[in-house]
Amino acid sequence: MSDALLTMDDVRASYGDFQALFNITLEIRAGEIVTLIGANGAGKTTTLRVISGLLRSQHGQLRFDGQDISKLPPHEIVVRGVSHVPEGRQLFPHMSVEENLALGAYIGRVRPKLKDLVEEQFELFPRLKERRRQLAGTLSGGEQQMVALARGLMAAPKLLLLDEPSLGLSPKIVEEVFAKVQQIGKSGVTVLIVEQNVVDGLSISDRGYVVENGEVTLQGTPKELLGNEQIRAAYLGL
Amino acid sequence: MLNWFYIPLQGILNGLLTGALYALIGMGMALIFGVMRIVNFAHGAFLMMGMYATYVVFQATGVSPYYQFPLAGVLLFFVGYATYMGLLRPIRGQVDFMVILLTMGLALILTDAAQLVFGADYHQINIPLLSKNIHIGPQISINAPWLVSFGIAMVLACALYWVVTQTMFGRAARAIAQNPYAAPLMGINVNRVQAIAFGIGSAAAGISGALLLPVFYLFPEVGNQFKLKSFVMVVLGGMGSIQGAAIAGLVLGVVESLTSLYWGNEWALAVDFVLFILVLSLKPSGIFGSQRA
Ligand SMILES: Nc1ncnc2c1ncn2[C@@H]1O[C@H](COP(=O)(O)OP(=O)(O)OP(=O)(O)O)[C@@H](O)[C@H]1O
Ligand SMILES: [Mg+2]
Repeated sequence: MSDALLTMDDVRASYGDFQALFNITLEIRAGEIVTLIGANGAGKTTTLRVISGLLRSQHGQLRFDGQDISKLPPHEIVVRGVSHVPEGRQLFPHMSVEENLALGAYIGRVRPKLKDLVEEQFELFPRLKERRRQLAGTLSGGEQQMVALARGLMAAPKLLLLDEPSLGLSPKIVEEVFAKVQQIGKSGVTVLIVEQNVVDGLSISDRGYVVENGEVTLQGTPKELLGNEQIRAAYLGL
Repeated sequence: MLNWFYIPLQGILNGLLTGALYALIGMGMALIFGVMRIVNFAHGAFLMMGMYATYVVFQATGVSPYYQFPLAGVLLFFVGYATYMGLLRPIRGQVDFMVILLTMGLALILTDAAQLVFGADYHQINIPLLSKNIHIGPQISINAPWLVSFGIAMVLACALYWVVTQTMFGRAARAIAQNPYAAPLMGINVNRVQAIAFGIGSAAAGISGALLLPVFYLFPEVGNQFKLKSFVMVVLGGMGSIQGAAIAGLVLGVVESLTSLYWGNEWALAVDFVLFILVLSLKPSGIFGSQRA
């Protein structure tokens, strides 16, 4: 319990009258890569939105780095060390790659290190260096995902939230994205990743959680989850 | 001698001199529209406030508006900031119509308040600079105050452009305009950045009012015509592009000046709106810029 970076205990959240999360209970330890799997509409994105403060939780505990963050606005949660790379990349389309990255380092703590951080991202994603002056909206899907990842890393986060980074990408690019995520994890960043791509997601993870209808119903190591009959039937079509 | 050449040239010069002030007014409006998608119907009333504030300080101290215009800027910055935080933020996310009603209501209240305090009379100020003219050759002459206000407005317009395109604040403001969902995830305090942008846009109106005071007359409804012109500039300039609005302001000044030169003063505003309607129906994305601010 004590070395948990993120703790969610019986977290509930709603969009207006519609309750999307009923009981999200999970724990992520520093240095882990954890995957969240679940069907469409299960509440995976909503879970990430609650963590990053885009949506308020209505019940339960949400603690990051030992502190309650459930009442903080999103821009303060970024300052605490959570970086959310949202579903669908959500870049700033009329800005260059460089400007998108610069915005990733908006918070005061990292702003003075802007140049070094950009260089780090260019080392991790050499293709972005070639495209540094191109408008983000004109990049290919794979390149846009790289920008989204790099922009998320610019805040030098302790916890990186990744929402379906492989969505809409060709298998080869998906492989590349997962390799990068693994590399990011090795560099010491804790990662919570939401994936439809269950096998690939779990293969780079330490542990996984299953979300069904707004509730965490299962957890385990990749091996346990991939061996589970229910999961094989529901997500792998086996 | 060469009248066919010098008369329109003088007209164009006069137009550019007025146009620089229009540009500053329009950029303020475009900044607010570009970042928040808010059409600020109180923009003209803010300009009027800047004019009255400058008038009061001038009456009390005799300091020329060309020295004390920053005061109007600071005052209107805080008025704009408070307007956003106090009135507009609580109704964000509701239908645009609410925002329109609210800013219109604010404009009416401010105009009526000016009438209560200062009366409906026209005021003018007199400064020595007004009688100075600069002659270029035998045919062209420029009234000195217009040249001064042109210089100040151009410097401020460039400064505003620099802030929006080159600083982290400007980048954050543009980020909100381009993707309001992602902006807070960068650590941007969206409300604060928007309130500051609203303050800066309002300050541009206030400073324009201060610069207009010596060369214009002052009355409670003076802001209305400038509010209308700023709509025209925002549309011509490409719906929120501040550089587009600046160019549109200069063009508007020249078009008005040539119109009144050849057709008479009464046609100038009509031509503004003909332009406005033509652009809206033929090229609604604007002429002088695409929305990028
Ligand atoms: N902005 C919203 N307003 C209302 N309901 C919403 C909103 N966003 C999501 N929902 C609902 O909340 C539930 C959970 O949605 P969520 O986006 O978290 O699912 P997800 O697990 O990420 O699905 P997917 O795999 O399709 O991305 C769904 O029933 C969805 O319809
Ligand atoms: Mg989702």
